[in-house]
Amino acid sequence: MPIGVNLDLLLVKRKMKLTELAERVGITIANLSILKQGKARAIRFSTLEAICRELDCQPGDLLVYEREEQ
Amino acid sequence: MRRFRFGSMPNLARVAIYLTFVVSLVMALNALFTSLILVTHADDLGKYRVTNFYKMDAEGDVPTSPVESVSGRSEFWVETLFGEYRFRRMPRILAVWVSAEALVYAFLFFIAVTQLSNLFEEICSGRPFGAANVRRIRRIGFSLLGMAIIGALAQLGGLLIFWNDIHVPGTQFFWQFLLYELQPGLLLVGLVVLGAAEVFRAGARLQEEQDLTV
Repeated sequence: MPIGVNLDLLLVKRKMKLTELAERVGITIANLSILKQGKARAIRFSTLEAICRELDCQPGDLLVYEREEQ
Repeated sequence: MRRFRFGSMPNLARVAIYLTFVVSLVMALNALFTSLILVTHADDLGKYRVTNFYKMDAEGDVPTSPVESVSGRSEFWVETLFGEYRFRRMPRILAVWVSAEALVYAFLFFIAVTQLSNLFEEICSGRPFGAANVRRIRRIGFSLLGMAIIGALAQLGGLLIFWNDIHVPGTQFFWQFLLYELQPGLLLVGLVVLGAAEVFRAGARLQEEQDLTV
């Protein structure tokens, strides 16, 4: 998937655990794990907003575009 | 103690499935028993009532001119007689053919029922759209098609062997009944089920998309 998710990095910076973030954002740990592992197909704006609010970051800090090598 | 809920779809569906499952077991046992007799006693079937067509008893003389019904709303006349023929000896190849058909038919029916049972369980659990259910529905569809085709092949096989062997004075063989043996209704239902499988496949794709949307 060309879109990478820097959730691990942000969690370390904010010293927050995945379970705590999931509880604050209001989604299941399973779904957050899917996002963290880069397996998610889509993310809702509401979820993106909640994650950025809790981690005090911009969407560009969380999501990066990685061009696939042809 | 959980009360049995009549009118509730899940319980009603389970009752229907269980009853159909019992029917499939009875069919399988009947097919097995019949096959054993046919194959082991093909040369001496005289004491067994191995018949093919339904028998219609005639009382007195058979009328040839139209007969009015009791209410007078319709009339009927005798045009087709269903004969009963009893095998004294059956060619072993036909015995094996018919036995195989009966066993395969019962097996396909059993497959369809078990797949339907698993499908209903998944649907009632709130997981209707998934790759496993698509496979189950396809198996049901192919089982139905197989049952329709095998039933027709069995009749055709028997007729090919006995076509020149049965001559009943005053009667003519009604070959058109073969069209009914093709079971066009079952063929259509099988095709509809296969079409439904494709619909469920599309649903499974949407479900996966939904499941992976955070």
